Amino acid sequence: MSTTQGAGKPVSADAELELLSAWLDGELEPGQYNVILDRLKTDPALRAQFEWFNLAGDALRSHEVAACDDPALVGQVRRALQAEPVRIGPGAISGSKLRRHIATGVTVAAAAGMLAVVALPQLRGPGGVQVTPVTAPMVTSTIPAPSPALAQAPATKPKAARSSQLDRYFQAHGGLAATGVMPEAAGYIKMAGEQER
Amino acid sequence: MAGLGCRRWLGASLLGTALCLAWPVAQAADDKSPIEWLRAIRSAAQRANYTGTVVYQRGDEVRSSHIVHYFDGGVPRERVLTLDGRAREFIRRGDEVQCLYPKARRVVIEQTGPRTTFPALGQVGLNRVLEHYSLAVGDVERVAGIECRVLKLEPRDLLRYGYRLWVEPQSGLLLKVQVLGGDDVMIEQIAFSDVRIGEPVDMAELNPSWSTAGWQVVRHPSHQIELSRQGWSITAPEGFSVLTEVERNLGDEPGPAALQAVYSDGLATVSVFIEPGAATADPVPLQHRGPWSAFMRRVGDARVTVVGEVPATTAQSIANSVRFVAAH
Repeated sequence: MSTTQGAGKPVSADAELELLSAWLDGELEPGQYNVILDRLKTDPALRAQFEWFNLAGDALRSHEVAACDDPALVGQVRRALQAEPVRIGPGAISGSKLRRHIATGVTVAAAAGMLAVVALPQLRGPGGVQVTPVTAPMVTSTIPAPSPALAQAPATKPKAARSSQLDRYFQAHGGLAATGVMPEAAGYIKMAGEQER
Repeated sequence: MAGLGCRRWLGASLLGTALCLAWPVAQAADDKSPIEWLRAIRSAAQRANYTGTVVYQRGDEVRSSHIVHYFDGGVPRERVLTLDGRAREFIRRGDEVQCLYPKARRVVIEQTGPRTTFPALGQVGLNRVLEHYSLAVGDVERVAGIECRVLKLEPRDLLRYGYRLWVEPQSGLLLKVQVLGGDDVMIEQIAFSDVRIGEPVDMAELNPSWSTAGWQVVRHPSHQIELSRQGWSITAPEGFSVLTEVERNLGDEPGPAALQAVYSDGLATVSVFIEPGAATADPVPLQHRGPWSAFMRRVGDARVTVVGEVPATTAQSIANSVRFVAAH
């Protein structure tokens, strides 16, 4: 991995990982986006790291998807997660530190789907590199300002893309919060077309 | 002849008497105040025995399921079998639900804890439901060959959807429900295409369709918690009150548990999931699936996801209200 930034300022590989990690976590200021994008365009090693983060995120979301790319990683991530303590409140550990952990081959980049949506178009400039996203886009629409019209249901059903990341929430909600014709079964009837757990 | 005439007269009298006796019963079943309608629906949801086919429609999606519901006065039992697409089955006994996935040879067992009843009326005061919805009694329409009274629950604000209900008056069982968005556009519908109400249930119909010997068994246990004692604060919109708060795993992947709080206004339900240490990046994603809105944001390093049968802005406002104050 190169040790110079786009602006020519020498940086360490660790600093670049921190930058990439902060970007994935949405912690960078807008003005800093171009720095990391330029680095990704020109640094194959950093790009490989970016793809590794995506793969780790996939391994968290679906071991079946991730296993297509790297079966060994799936086991690695599962073992690491099993060793993770259960936490009940937001802790001091930052996303960047977590991702630094991943860089050594251990854990997670849950926000990588966002990156595929936001960053990839920019990465595919005329002289830019082609990066194949390994995660499905998570964002299906953005929140407009509340208005009476929007507060109610859309007049026509939005053709939303499925996000497998959200499946487990829909399923967990349907299991506990039954509404519909049947007292308890409605949630399961609604979920019958969802992915298997 | 005289004897025959007498018998005719007697028969006509008996028929007339029977009609006179039956009429007030039928009329009483159909002549209810709004609160009585809700009470009847709640009672039927808990106590009625029924077997039938349910068709669920959401946008272009149409799915059918066979359902058997049995209540012996103690523990409710239920079996739902999908009739199209990939075979799967959900078998509930009390608070435990077994989800059977034959293709994967997998059984997922969930302990659901205290359950809601349709539509969560059991745990939210019926009067409170009518504070946020107005109930109008409509015409009689047939569903699955049975005459039903149509009720419309109109939301009094923009925080929730409307509902149209088709109720079988004698039992109070809902045979059809539509969720309505703006301009009464139907967002979701669930309805019986055939149903038998109050008939004896063959207990064999509550058993799984397959032998699960040798299948992978995955348990999704959950236990009750108090989010406030763990430092979390959630401000639900007016009319929504908490039904349950649990700690659970969201999938069969090993990993930290998620905290889930379920809120309801008596008709709509919303879940708030909090996953400490699983923060996602901004910008905030939003997704619709029929009437279900999902909204995700980050609070510290926790990922907060709100899913519910509410308009997007309601889900967003709930998500934005989530704060970590301090653990007690």
